[in-house]
Amino acid sequence: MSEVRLVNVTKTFDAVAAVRNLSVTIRDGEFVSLLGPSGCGKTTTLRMIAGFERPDQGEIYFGDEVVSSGEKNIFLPPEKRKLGMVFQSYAVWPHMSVFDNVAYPLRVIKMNRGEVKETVDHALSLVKLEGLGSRYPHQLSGGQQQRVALARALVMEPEVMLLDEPLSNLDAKLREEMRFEIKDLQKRLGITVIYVTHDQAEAMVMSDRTVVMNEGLAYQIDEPRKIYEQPADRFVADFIGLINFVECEVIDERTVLLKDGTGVHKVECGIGDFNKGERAVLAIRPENVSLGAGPIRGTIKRAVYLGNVLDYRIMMGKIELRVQGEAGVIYNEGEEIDLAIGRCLLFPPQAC
Amino acid sequence: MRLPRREEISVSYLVLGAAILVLVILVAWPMLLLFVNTVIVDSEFTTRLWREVFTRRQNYTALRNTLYIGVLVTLGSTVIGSFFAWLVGRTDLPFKGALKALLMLPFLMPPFIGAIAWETLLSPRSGYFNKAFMSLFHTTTPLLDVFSTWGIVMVESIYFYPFVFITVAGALERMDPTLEEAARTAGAGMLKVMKDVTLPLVSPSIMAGALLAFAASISNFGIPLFLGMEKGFFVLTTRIFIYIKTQSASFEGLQLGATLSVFLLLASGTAIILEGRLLGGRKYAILAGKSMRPHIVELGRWKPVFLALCLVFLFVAVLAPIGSIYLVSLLKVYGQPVRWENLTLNNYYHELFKDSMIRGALRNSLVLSVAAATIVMIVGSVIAYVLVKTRIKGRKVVEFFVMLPYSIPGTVVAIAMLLAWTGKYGPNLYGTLWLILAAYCAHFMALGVKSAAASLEQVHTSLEEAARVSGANWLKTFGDIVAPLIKPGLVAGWLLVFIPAFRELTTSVLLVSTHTMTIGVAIYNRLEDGYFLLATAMSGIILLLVFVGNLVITRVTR
Repeated sequence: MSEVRLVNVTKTFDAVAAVRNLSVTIRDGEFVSLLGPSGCGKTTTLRMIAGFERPDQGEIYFGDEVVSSGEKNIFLPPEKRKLGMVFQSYAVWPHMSVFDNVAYPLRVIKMNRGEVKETVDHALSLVKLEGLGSRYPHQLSGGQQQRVALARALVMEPEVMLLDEPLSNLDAKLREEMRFEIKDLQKRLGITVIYVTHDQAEAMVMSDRTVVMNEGLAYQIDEPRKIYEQPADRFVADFIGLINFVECEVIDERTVLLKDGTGVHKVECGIGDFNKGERAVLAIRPENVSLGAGPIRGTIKRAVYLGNVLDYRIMMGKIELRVQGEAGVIYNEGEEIDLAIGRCLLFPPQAC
Repeated sequence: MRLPRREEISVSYLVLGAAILVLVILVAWPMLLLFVNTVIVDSEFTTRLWREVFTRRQNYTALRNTLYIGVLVTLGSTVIGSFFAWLVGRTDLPFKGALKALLMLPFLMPPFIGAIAWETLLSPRSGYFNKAFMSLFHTTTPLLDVFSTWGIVMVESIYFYPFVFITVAGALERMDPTLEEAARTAGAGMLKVMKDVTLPLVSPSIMAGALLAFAASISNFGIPLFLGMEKGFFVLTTRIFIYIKTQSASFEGLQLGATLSVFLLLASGTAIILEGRLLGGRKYAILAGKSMRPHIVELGRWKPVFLALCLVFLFVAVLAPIGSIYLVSLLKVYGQPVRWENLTLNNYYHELFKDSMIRGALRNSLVLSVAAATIVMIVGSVIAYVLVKTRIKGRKVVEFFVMLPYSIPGTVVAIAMLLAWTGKYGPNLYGTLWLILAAYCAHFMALGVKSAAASLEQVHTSLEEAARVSGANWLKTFGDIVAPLIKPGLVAGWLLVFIPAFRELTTSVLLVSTHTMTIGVAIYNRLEDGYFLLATAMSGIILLLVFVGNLVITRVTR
């Protein structure tokens, strides 16, 4: 029942398409992130699911029920959708105590006092705010306010919970902690979560699947690992993690030719749909270049120590490569080294 | 990005429609009649009224006086306001908080009461300052005769400099201090930073404040009425008053007044529009802005000098008039020296309990100001909600008509009301409180909308949306979330309308009849009839109410 399905959803603001023809099914109990740069349509998508925006076209289903349909002129207002939602600004009501904030959804449905108390206390314990019910929001830290918002979203035991960049106002340490806690809660309660973020690490850590969006389009809908290892196109490859793009030419089924301005290198790579002689872009993750031995010679331009790894910028002729090396062996700036390109991907040259 | 949902659109349009209807009845229709009646006499087009107005020398004189005083008051207000704004905003002067509060006091003072207060200080024979001056220097020439052009300029400057003070102090407060710090690190000295960075950045606010002071000066009625008419010195507002009063009940006089008031409208309208342009974008920010740590100028050895200057100004210009009005109100006979045996509470007793005219006026003013404040805040918050929280079409039109009457001088509003509601074009409300109530509502609507809008803007949309996903519908969300959050703002807004409406003079003086006397007009009548002590006692009561009311405002909005 708690499956959320978007079918060809389109939303336009003043002739600017915010979401274009988006179709995605979020399964029961699944944690799905909407990930993308700002203005990509992820928040609009979430707000359409919540009922704060009305899609121009397409349908949104909760289970078998249509909650929104542009064509059939069906639109269920947000208060009837039985969702939990956490806002970026927390949206904790400043004139109500923590208890009253969390109890609000229950009071709307006129639950009796005893039950309210019990349910709210349970929700507060879920987010580890036991005993803080009588406090007011201004007496709480940002992290605690975030937990109040979470408890309020959970108190009705919704089957679907929407989170709109809930951690972006927290400091780095707390953010890390909350990621884990939210994920843990979701697993324990078995609820479906739709999570908007621009932070790829957040999406990677928490999601079962991630929808990578840009300019209103879903570029790829997949498990985090697949998105990282098999990005659907150059945008996804570039947006998720670090990657080098190098122009090349396909010479046979297994090899591309890479010109660096001073020399020519052959690199082995599955060419997929490309034809021999075609120009292409080779995409290489920094960790997929091995240093110390190999057919290509390069010069270390910069070396930055990051603790667990070393971040190098290596000049390969006129091409600059970003490479990650193990912290065990340190190469110095200016040093010449041999290197080999391991796993890599090919994209069409004009794709952006 | 937020667009209204469809079921809300219908409600919004309904509300918007009602608001527009109210505005048309209260504002658009009377203003239209104002213009029409300058060219139509007996349903025929004519330029006679304009010719008549143009051929009177008194009108030219009044226009010239208005502009002359307006310009001088603007200069005076700008110098005083900017200087003190800088002094309390950007220097290491001690007691800045208290000084700032005291410097704001003249803003609360009804200008016509200020005129009475200055009469007690600077009337040529019996004014306390003049008496002290004459006995100190053994002379018979007074320091300054308050019943003169310069007297009017000085009194208006003292009551209108807060317009400049508030806008400039606000701008100095909001200014990012790192802008000045960046100039310091670039090698500029303190004075150079002030000249190259601070002054250019606040100059739009100085200009805006100056324009507000100008508009206030040319629209002011009380000060030239009390200080100018005695010597036959007229400005536009008092000239219009004469047109209406001397040709009382004649529609012709009304039309002549309307024609003359078009001048007033053009002058003050231009100033207000320019002011809006200068401070564009921050239209609802009455006194908003977060406090940052400003860049402080160290006064060093000049500190005592500046502090003394501040204290002398505060004593002479702010505290002495207030003190003097209370002192005089306690005298048995005006002009007596202040000695124990000459003091009495009889003036107060008489005004509060003995005189039925005053009792009636008090009751009328109370009824009018409570009703006006309540109507304005209810209609105003609905309009403000549409303006702030929705994106529906037609908002701009509503906003224009809301803000319009506030930039129109009270005199002009009164003329428009007289034209619209005295029987010629509909019901005759003359002689009833409804006429004055309509004028108050039109005049103060902008204040209500502004204060409601300012508090609504503090309510982040996500607070409402959180209630919606919690299962509350639009109405319940408004009741449970929005209303409690804006309540302090609405209470303050109510008082913000109630206080000036209670002591209103400019508009009501043209609209009152024997049974609809207001307290402001009653004070004027007291002066006219020569009961100066009673007028000061009544002023003292109003002042007390004003100060208490403002104390409440600062309490609830803190």
